[in-house]
Amino acid sequence: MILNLLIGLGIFASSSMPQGETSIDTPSGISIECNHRYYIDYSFMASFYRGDNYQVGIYGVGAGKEFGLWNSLKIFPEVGFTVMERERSGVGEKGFSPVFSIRFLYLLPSGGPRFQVGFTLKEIFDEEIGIDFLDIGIGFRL
Amino acid sequence: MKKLALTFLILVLVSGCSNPFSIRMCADYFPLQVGNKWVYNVEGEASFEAEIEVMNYDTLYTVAVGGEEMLIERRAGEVNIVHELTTTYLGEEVSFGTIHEPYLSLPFIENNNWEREFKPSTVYRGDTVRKSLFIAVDSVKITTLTVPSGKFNEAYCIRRTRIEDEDSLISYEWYAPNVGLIRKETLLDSVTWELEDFTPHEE
Repeated sequence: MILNLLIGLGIFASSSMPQGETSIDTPSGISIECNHRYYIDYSFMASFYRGDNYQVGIYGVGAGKEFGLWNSLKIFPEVGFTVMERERSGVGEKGFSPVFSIRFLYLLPSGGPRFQVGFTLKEIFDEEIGIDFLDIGIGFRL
Repeated sequence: MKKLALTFLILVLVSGCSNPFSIRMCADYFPLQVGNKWVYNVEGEASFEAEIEVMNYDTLYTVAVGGEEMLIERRAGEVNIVHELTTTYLGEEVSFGTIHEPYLSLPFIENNNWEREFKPSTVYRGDTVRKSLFIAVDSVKITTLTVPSGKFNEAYCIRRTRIEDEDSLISYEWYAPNVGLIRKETLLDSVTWELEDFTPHEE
């Protein structure tokens, strides 16, 4: 399985775009997705949110399936498992939580490697955040 | 391979959605939707039923507590009670204006604590009149509690200290996920509120 992963490697790295009212409440993060050759997709994600006196850190892995939408446009519904830390005034709680994401990728008409652009929308379940993480990024596929 | 992946996804979903931390992350511990109604058994020197109902919302929530209206402000991460701060001076009521008294800091986090202090002053008939108000919340704990309306897991218990001039009031409050206040004890007069029934607003 690991050998297949290495052979069929594709990487899509993305980072959150500003979407909060101020820079301080903008969710930020990075995720790296590897496309398996059987169209199974794995991702490693780290996201961070900081409010006035409240912050959340999210680190996790996810897996999903690639589906072709139209020509070179792909969609990846994904479910993941995250370790979450939330903290206020130096006091925090830690636990785990599911994460759901959906990613759209467009594969550019190039040779090898084939470049891809897209975005990922992650839904983080925190009653107080109420913000989705929207990551945009670029990558390539061998 | 497909079965393995499917099993993994199902396990992640089931374990993730029902684990205690996830429940606490996803829950609203102070639901203020208009129409929400709570009925409490109040035990003290006298026993009676008290109702709390969210009446309407227009930048502030109007909440009827036992027939008496109060204004609640719900902002990101905090709940404030909006009221006029007054004192009695030479037998007359003197106002210091409207304050947004911190009530809760949300989300609850175990072992978190905070405090706020107000020290307003005003001039009344040539004299300077002062007042002090101190609010502290500490000892935030996660617990399980059974009250007349049922058993609640992942409830948060807090201790509230409110000192207004020379009068101090210490109370313990328990909040349950997606229900809100389920129990309250005030130490001074040994009055206990316990949730008898909660009726959420109709969608």
